[in-house]
Amino acid sequence: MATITALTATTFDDGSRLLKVDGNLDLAGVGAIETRFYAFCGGENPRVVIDLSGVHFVASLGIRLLLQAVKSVKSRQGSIQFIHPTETARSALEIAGLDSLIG
Amino acid sequence: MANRLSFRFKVTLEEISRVNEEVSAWMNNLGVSSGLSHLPQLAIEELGTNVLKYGHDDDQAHEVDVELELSESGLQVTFTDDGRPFNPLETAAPDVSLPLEERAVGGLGIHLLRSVADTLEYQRVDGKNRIRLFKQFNS
Repeated sequence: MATITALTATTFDDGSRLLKVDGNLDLAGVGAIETRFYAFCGGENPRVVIDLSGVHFVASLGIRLLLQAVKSVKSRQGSIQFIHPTETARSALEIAGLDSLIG
Repeated sequence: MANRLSFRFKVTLEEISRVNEEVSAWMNNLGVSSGLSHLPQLAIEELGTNVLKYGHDDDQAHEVDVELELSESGLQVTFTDDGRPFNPLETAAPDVSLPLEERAVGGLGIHLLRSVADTLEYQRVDGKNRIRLFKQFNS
């Protein structure tokens, strides 16, 4: 049975956002969350923290999702940080050159 | 003792996801560690989407062959397709030292696959691409 990738989003009183991804960031997983994921990285000066503790498999589409989110947030003078990456997620961030954003 | 799984499927986005569910189940049944078990899924997704995007000039779904072999030393994945010649060893790694805004968001699939596998071999055989990946246990 398919494991559905889930995105849990929390917006705090100061406007900052915490996104937690649980599941695989592959073709099916990215397809399941990308619209909401990008929406939560939107707005003016977004401050986003992405919790990757529940991500156990990352394919290139998943790296692309994270890279696109970083580019989008930075282009609007926001801030973005990745926290608690699993070993797999950390490797993916390193491959994408995004490991400097691990907090 | 080696455990082997061979199958052929028509490459579509839906089929890649469906096949990977079955591969995950096969790996889980064999009790393979998650580090190893991601290699076949990654190969099927990255090489499958490559065939889909770049392998053929027509819009037809083409069949590919996958063989997984789990031995005492590790896991081997062989992926064969009849698309245009594609040697993954000749693809350049993306330049991640570029500033973010200049960085391409694509082209990471083969790079990712090469980083996960211990070896990657390519052969053009009988008009087909054959890509063989191997990952040792405890590597």
